[in-house]
Amino acid sequence: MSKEKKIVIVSSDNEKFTVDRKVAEKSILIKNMLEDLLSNDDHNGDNDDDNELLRDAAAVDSNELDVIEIPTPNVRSTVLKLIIEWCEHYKDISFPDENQDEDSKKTPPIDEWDKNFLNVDQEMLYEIILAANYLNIRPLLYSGCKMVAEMIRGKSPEEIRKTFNIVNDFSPEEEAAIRRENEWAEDR
Amino acid sequence: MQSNSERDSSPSDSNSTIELQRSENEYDHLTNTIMEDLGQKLNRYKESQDMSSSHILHLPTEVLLLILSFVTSKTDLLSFMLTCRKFGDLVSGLLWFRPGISNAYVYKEMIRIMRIPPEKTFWDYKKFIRRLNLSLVSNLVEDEFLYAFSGCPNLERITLVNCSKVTADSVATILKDASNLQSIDLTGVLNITDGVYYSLARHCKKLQGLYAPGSMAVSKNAVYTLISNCPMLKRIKLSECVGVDDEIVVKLVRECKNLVELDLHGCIRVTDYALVVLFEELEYLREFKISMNDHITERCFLGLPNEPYLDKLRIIDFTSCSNVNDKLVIKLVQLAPKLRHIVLSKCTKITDSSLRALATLGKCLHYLHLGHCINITDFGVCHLLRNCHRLQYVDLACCQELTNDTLFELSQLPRLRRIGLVKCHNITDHGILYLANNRRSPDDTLERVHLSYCTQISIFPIYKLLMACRRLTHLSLTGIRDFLRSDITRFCRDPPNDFTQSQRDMFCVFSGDGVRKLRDHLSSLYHQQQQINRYVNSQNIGNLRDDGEALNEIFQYIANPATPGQLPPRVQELIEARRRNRNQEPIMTNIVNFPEQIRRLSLLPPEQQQALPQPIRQLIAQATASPLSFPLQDQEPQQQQQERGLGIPPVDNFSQVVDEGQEFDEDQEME
Repeated sequence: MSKEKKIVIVSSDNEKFTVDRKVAEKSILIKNMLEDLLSNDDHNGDNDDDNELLRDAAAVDSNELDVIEIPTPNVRSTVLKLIIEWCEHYKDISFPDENQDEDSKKTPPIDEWDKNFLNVDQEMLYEIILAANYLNIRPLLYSGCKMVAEMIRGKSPEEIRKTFNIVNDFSPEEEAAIRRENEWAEDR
Repeated sequence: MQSNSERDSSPSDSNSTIELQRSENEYDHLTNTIMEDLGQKLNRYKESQDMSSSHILHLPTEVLLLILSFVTSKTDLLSFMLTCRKFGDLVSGLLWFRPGISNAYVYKEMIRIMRIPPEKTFWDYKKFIRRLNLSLVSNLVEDEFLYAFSGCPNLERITLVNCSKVTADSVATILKDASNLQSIDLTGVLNITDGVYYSLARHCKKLQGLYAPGSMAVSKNAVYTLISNCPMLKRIKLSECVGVDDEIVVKLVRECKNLVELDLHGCIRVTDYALVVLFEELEYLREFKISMNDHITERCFLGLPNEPYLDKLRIIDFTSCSNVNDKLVIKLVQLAPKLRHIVLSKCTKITDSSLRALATLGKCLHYLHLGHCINITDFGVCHLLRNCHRLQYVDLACCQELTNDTLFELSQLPRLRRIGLVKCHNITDHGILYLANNRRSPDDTLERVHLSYCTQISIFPIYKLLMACRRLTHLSLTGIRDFLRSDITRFCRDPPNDFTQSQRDMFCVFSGDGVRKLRDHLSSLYHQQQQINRYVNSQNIGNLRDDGEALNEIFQYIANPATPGQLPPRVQELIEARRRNRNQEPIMTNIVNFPEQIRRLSLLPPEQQQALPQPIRQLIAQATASPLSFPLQDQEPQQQQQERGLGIPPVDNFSQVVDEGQEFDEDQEME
């Protein structure tokens, strides 16, 4: 079989991060990309003809097959650095199948390590969430979203506005009407 | 995020929502719908807000919805909704997409708000509502509710399960504006009329699912009109509809090529003729049910090849179709080798050769109901169970040939969740002990066990079963003498209202918390019993088998000498009975029953025997007549034991005492 590939992930500001394939594949986006590029590579001898095209594609950025560059045009280097740190931490842990249903996704509370890891300012938190969303790293995306959900928990509307710096564009009358029409939904 | 694989876990139950899109889960659907609804608004509000790229308001809607999916408190959602217009739009869509109508307060609020003209509410809530499920408040729902909800243009699903107070008129009214309706579940709605069918045919052309088992009075013409107008129908339940005959079924097959589920329970006019067309032409058919139909024979597969022609078929139900026979079953398995869920209850013609055919389904088979198949035997059932190791649900009620051998095979099934063995008279304590002893994994899957009228069963094996299966939530033991005593039945649930007094007297069903309490109770009885045993052991008496109840009474007597004099009459009766049966072998079913205490007492030195109460001395005298003896158990210091043994207050109608020394040890470890 093929030898271990090094993957180079390139941030929007052109910083390059070299990681093991295992780490890079925490991103399902990258994993699928690599599978497309490398799947035929592994069976080189079997059908050479089909491989030509793919091999060219794989070599586009690097001229040689042992290094593969993957650009992430939406992710700044400071964010990408953190994302890779997260992927390194979890590289030996396999997460439950993608096919898990709604229920199993909601039950577990945020992992302690993730909680500390995501203890950053809001701006960075959102950027991590967006990057995790883009790169399709579900466990990280979920942890990030749970962090935000935590920030909403138990707060009044005014407290939430303050937390997230939201400008109230309702009149007091409108607010009262919305309450009247929606308070049935409250837990009781 | 999607679950592509077909659901193969829980057996579908008749009240579940109609499943239309298996590949798309609820959350994705909700997200997609709300995204569509909000698509434009999102841009509209962007200008009025702080434009820094890192603001929560600028997260994409899909991410915001994911965040909100982790906000489990509705109160928090409401607060979030009140922060600003953009989030108001988002959350209102979320809250009203499928309003959770779970109690009388919400029910009344819903009617109040729905009656306000849309231009006077902040949002036009009627447009948000996609799914309306009233099954949680079915006893409250009346016509006024459905009238208030008329005019919801985006309704996709309506669930009115068990809403028995609504009339066909209000149902027809809510349908008038529901041109996007995909499914309606009217299970438990009474007196469905032609009007509902005509309304569906006229307004709901996209209908895919119709569960309407209450359509007894619906005419053939109404069903025909519906079928002609709703070509997308995929799932239909028309149980007991007099209008359904061969012509309707053939029409349905020809018009609705996507049909995957068809339930014709009690449609007695349907014959093999229609089924031949159905099986031949519906390549996607997944679920087919028909019952109480004597016309169905093996000829329903006439002309189909001997190959997996129906390989999509997963669920089949021929309940009470008296002419279903082995030939039909054998052909069925050939045609549909991936069947998962099979109901052949009351198909009394089938024999072990059907079971040998079903065994070839192997790991595909998860659910099997063979109740009242009176001709099947251990031979067939064991062969089947050995081959189908993924079975989760097995019902063999009233299969009276079956014995403990079947229980032994059942005990080997790793995923078993439900067992039905009602009225299997030959099941004994041995069988239940197999089951208990083979299911000792801490996360054993067994949840529901039905053993009513298995009259030979006694308490100890059930205690072991309860200890072994911690997920047990249902246990039925109706009509078994040993369990009909007040200390046990106090944990059982109330009998159904329409039961007669004698039925009530026999009723003994535990569910939910009742199972836990029963487990705790038996466990504490067992513990006390061990102490008594230790006491008796400490008296240095030989082993003895005897009648449990008698000894139980005696030990009450020992523990509570406040009632001196004669032994209770019941005990004397039992002693009498025991004397009559003296020459019979003690049967293993008495495993809970009785230890050897009496005979042990009889081995006490004479001076100690003299110190015992007179009635017990009598018993000892009688007992010494049968000279079986058993090895002694280990003994503990006498006095200490004596204190412990006698110190126990008698429990209300105290239970049996156990004579299995080994069992003690196992359970002490467990506790």
